[in-house]
Amino acid sequence: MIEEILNKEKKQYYLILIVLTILILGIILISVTLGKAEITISESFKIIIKKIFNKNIEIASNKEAIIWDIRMPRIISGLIIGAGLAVAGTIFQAILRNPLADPYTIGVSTGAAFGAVLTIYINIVYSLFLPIVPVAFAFSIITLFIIVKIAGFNQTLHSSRLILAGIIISATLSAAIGLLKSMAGEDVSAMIFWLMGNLAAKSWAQVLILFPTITISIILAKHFANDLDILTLGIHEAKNVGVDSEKLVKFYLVIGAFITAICVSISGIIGFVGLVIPHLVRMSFTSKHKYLIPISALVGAIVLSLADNITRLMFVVEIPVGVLTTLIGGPFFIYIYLNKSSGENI
Amino acid sequence: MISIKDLSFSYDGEKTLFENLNIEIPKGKFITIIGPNGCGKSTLLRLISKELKYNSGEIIILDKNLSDIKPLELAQKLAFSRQKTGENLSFTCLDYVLLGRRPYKEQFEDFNKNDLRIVEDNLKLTDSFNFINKNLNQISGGEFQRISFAKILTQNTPLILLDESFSAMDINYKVLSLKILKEKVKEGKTILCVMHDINLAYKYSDHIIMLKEGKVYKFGKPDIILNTSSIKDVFGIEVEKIEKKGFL
Repeated sequence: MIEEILNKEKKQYYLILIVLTILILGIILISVTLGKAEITISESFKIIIKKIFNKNIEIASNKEAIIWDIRMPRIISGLIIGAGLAVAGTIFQAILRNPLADPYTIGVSTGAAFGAVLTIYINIVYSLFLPIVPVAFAFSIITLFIIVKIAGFNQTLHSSRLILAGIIISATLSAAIGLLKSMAGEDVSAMIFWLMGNLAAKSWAQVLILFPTITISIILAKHFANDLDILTLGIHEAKNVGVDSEKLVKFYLVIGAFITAICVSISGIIGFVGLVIPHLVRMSFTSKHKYLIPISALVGAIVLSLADNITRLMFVVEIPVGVLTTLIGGPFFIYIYLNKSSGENI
Repeated sequence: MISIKDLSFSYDGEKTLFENLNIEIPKGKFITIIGPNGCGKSTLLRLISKELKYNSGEIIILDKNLSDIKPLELAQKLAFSRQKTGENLSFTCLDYVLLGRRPYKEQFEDFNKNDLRIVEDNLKLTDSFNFINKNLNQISGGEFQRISFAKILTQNTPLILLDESFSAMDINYKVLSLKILKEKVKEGKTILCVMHDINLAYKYSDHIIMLKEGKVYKFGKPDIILNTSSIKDVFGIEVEKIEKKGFL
């Protein structure tokens, strides 16, 4: 009886996993094909096969460059960042026990944003070419330390204290970003474009950073997923069944913040994926984290890459994908929420 | 089973709740703590379950000092049913009861047939099979208490702490649960239970601890210590003992 229920859930999980994986492969193939340059699906398929299996297939070299060096890294980056943000959102909602939490709640992203804007400002003023990504990453990690320090790392990490510390730091850093923006004068557009979050002009170098870090983080997050379930019941309830809650909260805090820091450093602040995707999966399938984490990752990947395709293909002037995800994600979420009778599931 | 020695505790460092509290809880008995609101009943359970840290003194559980017991080890010795769980992001009743097997599992290890059988038995015992697929926040208070009780039984520990765990159940399930507990006591388990219903406490407990303002007012067999004068002293109300007139 019970075994049947659990097995049914497991079967469903694998089925969803397979369907989503096939979907992702399809999206990759279609995404690289679509664009201003005229390339057919079979051509892009050949190019991918050629590159992956190192085969000798005759293909025009300019098409190869467009598919493999320009479109492919962007699409892969989008998939990974989407997955990362969705998983980070799932983690923060669980450890902060707050359905409104997302990767940006505790302010790590604002740290990254500040680092990026500061770098852009220095580059403008001193005509330098400092790289944005490492500075943004460094600042987000520093922010994490400050927040955890304020919330009290050695005491029991209360979710409300973490959220409060995050809000305080975020507000302060936002003001600092505003200051830099106003000081930048006419050159402010570079900062604004970065802050809005976009996936344009990503190269294999960025994929090389994203892929190992995010994949390992997600695997780690999934490994302790059963305990994450228990944590949603509260620190004390978790302790009652033998889970060392404090250690676990810290572990997940670091993983979630790390994923966020990497994603934000590379793509800027892309809103809503981290908030909505975990809820969608929870409402439509399960809230068990061992299923929730992998499925959220795949759904997040799909949603962000689709959104990126829309911004890339449908408008005359490319708009930042972060704007689109929030613009579509918000109303879509309200629609789902109102349609689902058991809204208290959230 | 549990020795509480010279225990002192205060919530904010100012108003002390317990001062040099000494209690010796014997093994294999059903012990009920009664007392007025705010006398420290729940706090005592939370101290024993290591949820709260005491200021001084010591608590010894099964010959081991509480401060030396790791969370996982404690979860195999002691199950605690608290008054309410934290808010949650949807958790099904079945998953909640399965948590009772968590202390016996390695990280990443799946539940085996034996675990599932134990869970199934306890769901049957507490008669809560028909809502196992519902979410914790969709069921009534009484149903939640039955699920919570099933989880505590599933944890299968020598020591069980219950904090008003039957308060929202109807009389049928209250009596059913207490009878199950009596069976568990026969198997050698120790039950430490906070209850407000003096009549049920009187009928089912082996011993009763009467707490008043953080002190043990009386500790002994129910028919010896529960009488009109002790109830007046502790609760401040006049009661009358009625023999064979109630419905229990």
